[in-house]
Amino acid sequence: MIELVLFFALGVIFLILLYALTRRTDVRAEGGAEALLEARQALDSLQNGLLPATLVERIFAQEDLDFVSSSCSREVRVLFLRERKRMALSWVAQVRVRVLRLWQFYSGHSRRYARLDLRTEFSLALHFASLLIACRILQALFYLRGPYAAPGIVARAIGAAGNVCVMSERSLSFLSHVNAFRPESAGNSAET
Amino acid sequence: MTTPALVLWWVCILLESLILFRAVTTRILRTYPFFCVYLSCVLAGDVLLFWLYRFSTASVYRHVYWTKEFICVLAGYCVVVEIVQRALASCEGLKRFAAYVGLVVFAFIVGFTALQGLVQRSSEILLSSVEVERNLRSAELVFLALLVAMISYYGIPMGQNLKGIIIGYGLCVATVVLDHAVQSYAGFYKPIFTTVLSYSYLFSLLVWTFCLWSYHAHPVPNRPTPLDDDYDVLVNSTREAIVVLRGLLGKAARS
Repeated sequence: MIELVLFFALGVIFLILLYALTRRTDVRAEGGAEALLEARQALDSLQNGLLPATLVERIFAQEDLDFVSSSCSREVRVLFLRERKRMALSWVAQVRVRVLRLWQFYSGHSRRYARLDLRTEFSLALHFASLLIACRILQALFYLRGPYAAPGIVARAIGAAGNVCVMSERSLSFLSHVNAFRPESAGNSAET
Repeated sequence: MTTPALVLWWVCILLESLILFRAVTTRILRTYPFFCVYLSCVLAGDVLLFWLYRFSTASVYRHVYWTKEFICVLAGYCVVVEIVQRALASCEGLKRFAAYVGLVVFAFIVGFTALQGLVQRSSEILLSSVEVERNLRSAELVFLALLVAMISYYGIPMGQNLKGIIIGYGLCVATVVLDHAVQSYAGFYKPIFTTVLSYSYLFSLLVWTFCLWSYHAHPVPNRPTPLDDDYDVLVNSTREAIVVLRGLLGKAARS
């Protein structure tokens, strides 16, 4: 009976994979200009748009809540919290999409290497997946508890975001050749 | 055999002939020779079995049926090798990995089947042809599943011909494994699954007819293979980026 379940599971898993293959739309050209530009845009968006400390600080600003709580009515406070929650959720969702795009770029790029190390690939896939899961957990936290539910979230997120902005430019240097497509982006990177 | 089953049999023979005719008249035969050999084996087997069904005894029919099945399994393995060669033509690293995994899976399943046969022989219960074929097809299916997962994960582009071969053949193998698993353990459902098997094969033939009607070149990049040293740079920088990004989100989640 265990064998029956195993063979059945194998067949069903394969059919699901086959269905996914027929439905896929994200075929990436190997190192194509479009893929490189998308990855560059995702990185730029993370660095300059989503992760800078000023933006994260603004979204989770405790003083905004304090101000609204002290000087506005209860209805306004509820409205404010609802809007901030939407904003926080949107922020995490966008970070997630950008991370996903970087992952797609990486997988599309790495497959061309003859010396592909499967253990490394597997470990990186797990890392990317855990990052995406972390985004999902954050989304759930914001959804259930709101952006101000945990006081420590702001300081820690801002501190880490600052590090990201400095380090991601260096650590994602493999995308630097993308600048060839966008000469002006070199200037932007230097400013970051 | 009922009239619908006979009609289905003839329709399958006609579709197999049509696909092979199109393959010969286009470049498909030259590009996918093993697939054409496989389909020729199936077609020859079907015609022979039909003749035996009408004019021979049941025992001869059964003997030829299982001989045909094992020839088709062997030809099927060649199709899988061809799929790997074509799909991963521009991915040397992935091709090497696929070859390694294929050998491991095949060795494991053959070893498992041999061990099962030895154990059951000692207890005087012989392994049936259904179980042997199921095990061999399972090895094929595991390998195909890994291949499809790799193609999806790495976003490897595929031509319509190759995609059709993978979908049609994968469907055939998956339904055979499901059918044989049910036959071995739940004979009560056998008639239902035999019907499902027949119609799923017809569906596979329709997929092949549609996808292999004309030749579509498999997209091969014209970019040179990058230097291997760049791979280390790519991996290290990506890993570092992941750690940093995860640090941000992890801290936020913990707080």
